[in-house]
Amino acid sequence: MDGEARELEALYETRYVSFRNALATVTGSRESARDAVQEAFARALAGREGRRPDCCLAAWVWKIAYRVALEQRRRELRLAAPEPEPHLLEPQRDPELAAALRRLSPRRRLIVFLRYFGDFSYAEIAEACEVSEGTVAATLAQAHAELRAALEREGAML
Amino acid sequence: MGGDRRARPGAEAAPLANAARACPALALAVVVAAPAVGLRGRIVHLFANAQPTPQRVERSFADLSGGTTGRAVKVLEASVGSNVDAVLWLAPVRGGGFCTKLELVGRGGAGAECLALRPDKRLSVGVGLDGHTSPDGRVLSGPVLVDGRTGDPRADSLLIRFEDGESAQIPLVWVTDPVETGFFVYGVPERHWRAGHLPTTLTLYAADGDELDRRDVHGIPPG
Repeated sequence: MDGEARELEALYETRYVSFRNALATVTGSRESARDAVQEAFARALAGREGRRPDCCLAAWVWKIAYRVALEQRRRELRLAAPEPEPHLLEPQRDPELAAALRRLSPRRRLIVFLRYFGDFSYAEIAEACEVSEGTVAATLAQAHAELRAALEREGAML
Repeated sequence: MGGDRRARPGAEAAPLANAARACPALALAVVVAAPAVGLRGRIVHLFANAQPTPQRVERSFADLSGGTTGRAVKVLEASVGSNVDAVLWLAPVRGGGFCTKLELVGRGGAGAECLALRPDKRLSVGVGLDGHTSPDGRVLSGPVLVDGRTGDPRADSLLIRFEDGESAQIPLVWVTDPVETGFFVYGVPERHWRAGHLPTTLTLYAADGDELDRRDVHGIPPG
């Protein structure tokens, strides 16, 4: 097994759960996210020679996984181009939080989910979302402030 | 820039709808209209036709949408700092929706996303720190961006306010049917990166001066 393949295997073993949790916000369920993660790593393995040397591995695989999730969602919903927006899996468990998250833009919502559901580092999020690490930090700060304000308006206990 | 110059933002400008109707439709059915107010040279170019799209932009859109975007248009180009220009690209998604990508010329991407057609009317605001920050988060170099969009058809102009009482108008570029969204990009001046001078709020106005929406601006670490 070559070095790239070993790196991918190690990434899969150590980060499978975080990838699945973050991707579930796109696919709509952990079951479909599991399939998407496995497919993504298979594609990454097959296409590993095409990765730029300076490209963060986790971010690169995330981009593949995101595309797989979109394809999967299209097949499941039979839509030409479904809204590729991440959302909470079980909004009924915390309606105030779900509503507050929906008010964020898709880009900011994804950054929040990658950080708190996927445990991605700022550097990985920056590369996956094609922004600077400073922007990741600013986005999370902004999201925190907006979520806090929205939850307070809803009367949530903070 | 200083003082509140929003006596009646947009009152002297042509309504957006008139400007939009004056522009020819594209093969993409995406029409870029001239901004209604505040074109102060911060928005440099508007393009009324789809054009060859840089490969990096196409790649971003393919990553986000699964490869189903049409050709992109350059929605706006704005000076956002010392020798730094920002460009906003937009491409429709086949079957519905559109993708946008903000780029800093010569530096790289500053964010991309795909949205459903006609997003809601609310003002969406993002802060970008695209220069260097210190280990404790202070901004060391720019640009510092405030960017976003609105789907409110009455949207005409924006006013950003700062802790020190200053304010500045931000031009809005409206993309007509089927996108029906206004976009903006603003480079926060360096004097407003410090505590006591930071941005506080961004307010969206109609042409008649009605306040349509207001958002607090967070995310710039006080230096």
